[in-house]
Formats: sequence, C-alpha cells, structure tokens
Amino acid sequence: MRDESHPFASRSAFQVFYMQWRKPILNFVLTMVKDQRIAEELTQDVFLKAYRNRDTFQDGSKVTTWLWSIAKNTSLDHLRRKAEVPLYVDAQGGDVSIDLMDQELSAEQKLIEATDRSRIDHCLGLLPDATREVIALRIHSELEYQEISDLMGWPLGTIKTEIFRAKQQLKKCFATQEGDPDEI
Amino acid sequence: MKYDFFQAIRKKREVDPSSDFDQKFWSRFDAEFAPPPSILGRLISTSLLVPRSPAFATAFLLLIASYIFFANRNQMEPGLGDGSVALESLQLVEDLEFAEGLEDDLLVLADDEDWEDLLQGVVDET
Repeated sequence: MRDESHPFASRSAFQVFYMQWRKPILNFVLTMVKDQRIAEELTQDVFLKAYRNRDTFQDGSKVTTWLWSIAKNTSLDHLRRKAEVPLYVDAQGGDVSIDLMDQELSAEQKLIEATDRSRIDHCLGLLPDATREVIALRIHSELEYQEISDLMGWPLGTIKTEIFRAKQQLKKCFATQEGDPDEI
Repeated sequence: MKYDFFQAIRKKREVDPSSDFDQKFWSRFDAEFAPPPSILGRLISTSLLVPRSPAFATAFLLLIASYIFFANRNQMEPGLGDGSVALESLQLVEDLEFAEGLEDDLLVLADDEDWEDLLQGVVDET
C-alpha cells in the first residue's frame, strides 16, 4: 500500500508531482531536442508514460530518478527517429576534479552574466548529443553524479570527465564571438 | 549561496511551459485515465455550460423540454389502452356491487350466466 503522498497514490498526488517536475523536465528535453513545441509534447509524453507504467515502478527506488530515465529515453527515442543513426560514442577518461579556484569563479560568473540566452543555447547545441544529455541532466535534474552515472550507464569517472570537458568547452564558446569558426 | 556554473546556466536559459501546456496535458491524461462519466455526470457537466451562453441555454432548455414531452407522450400512448382497461374494470366492479346490492336488498339471485355476463361487462338494463 502506497503512502498518500506517493506520486502514484492518487490523481491529486500525481498533480503535485507533475507541477513540481514539469518545468525541469521540459527544460531538459528542450536542451536535447532544441524545439519548444516538440519538447512540450515529449514532456507530456514523459508524464503520461510514468503514470501509465506506475504499476511497474518499484517502491524501493526513487521516483525522480525513474522520471528522469523516462525523460532521457523519450528524448533519445525522438532524436534517434529524427537522425536514424546511433547517437552515442562512448566517453573515456578518469576522475577529474571540477572544483574551481575563487578567482576562476569570479571570472566564470562574469562570463555567464555577459552571455545571453541564445548564445548559451547555441553553445549547448554544439556539444555532442551524449555530452549534451549529461550536461542537461546536470543543469536541470538536481541528480547526484552517481545517479547520473547510474542513469547513463557510464562509470562515475566518465561522467565527471564529460562534465568537466563540457564545461571547458562551454566557457570557451561563451567567450567566443558568434560566427567564430573556432567555436568548440 | 554557493555559486554553481550549471545553476547559473539554468537560471539564464530556463523557459516556462506555454500557457496551454497544462490544459493540453490534463486533456490527454483524462482521455487516457479518467473513468467514463455517467449519464448523470454528463448531464451535470453539460448543465454547467448553460449559464455561459444564452443561445446555448435556450437550446439546452428546448432539448430538455422536448425530451420530457416525447418521454411523456410515449408513456401516454400505451397508457390510453391501460386507461380504457381501467374504466372497464371500474364498470365491472360497479356492476358487481350493483348485483350484490340487488341480492342483499331485493333478494334477487344472480345465476352463473348473469355473473358471466357481469364479468364480461354486459349489464341487463332491464
């Protein structure tokens, strides 16, 4: 018997869950598919799939991790249908610290503040699909690295490396003027 | 609050769902998961629409009135036969009471044939 507050315990509980996560899921999917209309439709699909398959959800696991895995697979299915080619090249690499020194933080903050939204979207769009997926999860999901690792099926070290490399690429891209051929 | 590169990106590029996003979602949700409404439920939900449009209200009232009229008419048509049967029965009871009254008061005996006639609604006026 599920607790009343469990997202699948009742329609009203599911409404609360939906209201809490619809925006992060939408933004994650949007980062992947780059089209708001399609992202909205896919986001609705994510929640419908979650509710449709609520009986297969195992109560011991975390609902949000399950929801994010549905969001990830739904986005990838769409991209696969669109591209009809394999999306992933397996990332390699060891554990890399992503901590920054204080002076770097300040420069980084200024860089992001000076970068407009379309530029950020543009730079994210230049990342390979798999990397963009990891970064989108890092940005929108509030999942721990270990959870992202479990979700992607990649080693934790690989996830950290991907995030570190992507961050360097994004910073370089933000600092580069639009139209520069050396972007990323 | 601790600065986070990715949180900063999120704040910068986060978008809200379209204004009709929720409505579309719950329409899809209800189409798939909501139990089908009962006839009464449909009637109530339809009646809730009535005050929103005078034209619709008029049409709705006409629809209800037509339904009541035809429903009553359908009940009345077979009922005409039932009414005549009821009148015949009443007549028969009166005849029997009359005959019994005759028997009690005037000691006129009704034989089997008379009773048969009475049961068939035939009364000898003489």
